[in-house]
Amino acid sequence: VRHSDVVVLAIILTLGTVSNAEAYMDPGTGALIWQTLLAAGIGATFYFRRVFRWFKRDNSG
Amino acid sequence: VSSPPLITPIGDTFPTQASFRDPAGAVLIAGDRVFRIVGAAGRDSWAAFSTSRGIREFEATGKVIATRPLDDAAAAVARATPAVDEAYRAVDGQLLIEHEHIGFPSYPYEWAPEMLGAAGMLTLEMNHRLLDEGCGLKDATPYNIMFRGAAPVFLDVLSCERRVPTDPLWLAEAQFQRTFVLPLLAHRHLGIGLHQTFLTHRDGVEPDELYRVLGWRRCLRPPLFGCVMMPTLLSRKAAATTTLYERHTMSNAEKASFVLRASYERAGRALRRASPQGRASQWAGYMHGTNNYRPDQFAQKEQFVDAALASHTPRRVLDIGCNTGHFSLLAARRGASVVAIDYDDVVVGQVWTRAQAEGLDILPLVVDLSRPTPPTGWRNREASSFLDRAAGRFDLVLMLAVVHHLLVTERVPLDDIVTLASELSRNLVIVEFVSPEDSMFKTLARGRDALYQGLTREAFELACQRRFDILRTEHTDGTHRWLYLLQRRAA
Repeated sequence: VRHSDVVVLAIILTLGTVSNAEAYMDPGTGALIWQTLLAAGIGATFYFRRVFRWFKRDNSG
Repeated sequence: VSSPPLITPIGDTFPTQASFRDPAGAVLIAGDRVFRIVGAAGRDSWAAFSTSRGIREFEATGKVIATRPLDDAAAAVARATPAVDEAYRAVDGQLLIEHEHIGFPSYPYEWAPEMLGAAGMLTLEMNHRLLDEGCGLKDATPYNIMFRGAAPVFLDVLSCERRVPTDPLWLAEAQFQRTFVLPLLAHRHLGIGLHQTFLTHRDGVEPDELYRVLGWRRCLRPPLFGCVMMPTLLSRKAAATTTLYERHTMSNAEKASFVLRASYERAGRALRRASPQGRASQWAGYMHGTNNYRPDQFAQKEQFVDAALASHTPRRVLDIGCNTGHFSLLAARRGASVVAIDYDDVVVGQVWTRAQAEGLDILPLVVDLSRPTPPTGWRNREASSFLDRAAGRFDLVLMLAVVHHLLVTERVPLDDIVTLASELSRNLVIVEFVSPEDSMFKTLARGRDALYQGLTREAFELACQRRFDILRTEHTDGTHRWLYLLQRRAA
């Protein structure tokens, strides 16, 4: 996920207040947006994973 | 697959409706043999499947259906059948493969919730393992899975695909939620059975359907928050964004697979939380006190059934109204392959859990014999009815403590019940006659005794003898119940 995507999504989420309850909607859309948002968040932790692992090992040891 | 080489007479019995949704191939069923045409669109999937080391491991442990490609000579013989050739052309066929035959096909609307959970876990386990090799499954649906005994088996070999290494998204996640997690949540929170969900909604439950019923407060907790609330709210906000389905890639393949694995793990946590735990049922206590037998009477019944199992060694057994599966277990331990049905999904779940733990060849299904599973899907031809799948497949049919339910609660005529038994079994039936003086019979009849005045043991025997010979009879001491071992007469 590029940063621009996250920005686009954020705009959709915050400004897209038009109710489209009657419009046809792909039911998987919401789940995919949620997954994309989570992916962005989890992707950000990727570079810190060694730190997490180190903590985990430290705690379990 | 250790089946014989393909020979000519595969004839007219070829329904080609089994997998028309996927343009990658077509499934052909000829008697007890199952073939699949790999079409041009499925070539890459077949390549991913047939070269994967993970798939070989799953095949070896029985988690993926055993599969082998047919050689040219065998394929030529198969294509001599016009129906096969037509299907082959329709998908621009490249290759014919043969699959292991699953003893008794079953569908999500016949599974206990525990079984749907296990099918979902297998889907995730395969995704995890395939990711090691840069592969994945294109879709995530319970229709890709059936059960061999109590063990889930993955069938759809053309669902395999090579992934773009930098793509972190699992496109099938919403489908996984709809068809595995949400039906389990609907069952758990609202008591909606899987048959209710899947017979009317092939593609499972939508998040907003569940959100409307459960309300936002209950949806604040996991896994409802991530599986129901967020997808519902976000889909309301989202305009028709076509860019959403464009491929989103990350700069780094390792990072993409890190994110993807997190998605699989999240789905696994949701599935575990949605699965049933310690459920109560009207009938679950039947074997421990709520039934109509003293221990010695029950032992007598057990001996009768076990003696029949020992002397006739049936290979395939159908246990109708299996309850806690006591007699299914008895048959399975004697080496039979058992299909056990009951309309109560709690007891079916318990039988499955036990069969799975002990590795017994029992397939427990939620089927109500008085309203058995209809044929389903497009033109009612995608999946056949329970009775079509069951007819003539069993060497022994057990109908213990079940006939009076059909007679009284369902008001099915006795002759019809006997006819059905003779259609399901190709040889033996063990049936229990419960006379109108029995206390359970009286409870069910609720005072309508006049309706059952003609129901004597003699009348029952006469009805049976229209289609069966009575091999053995035994009165259970101190009860108003009799056991019969019947043998079907050749028509």
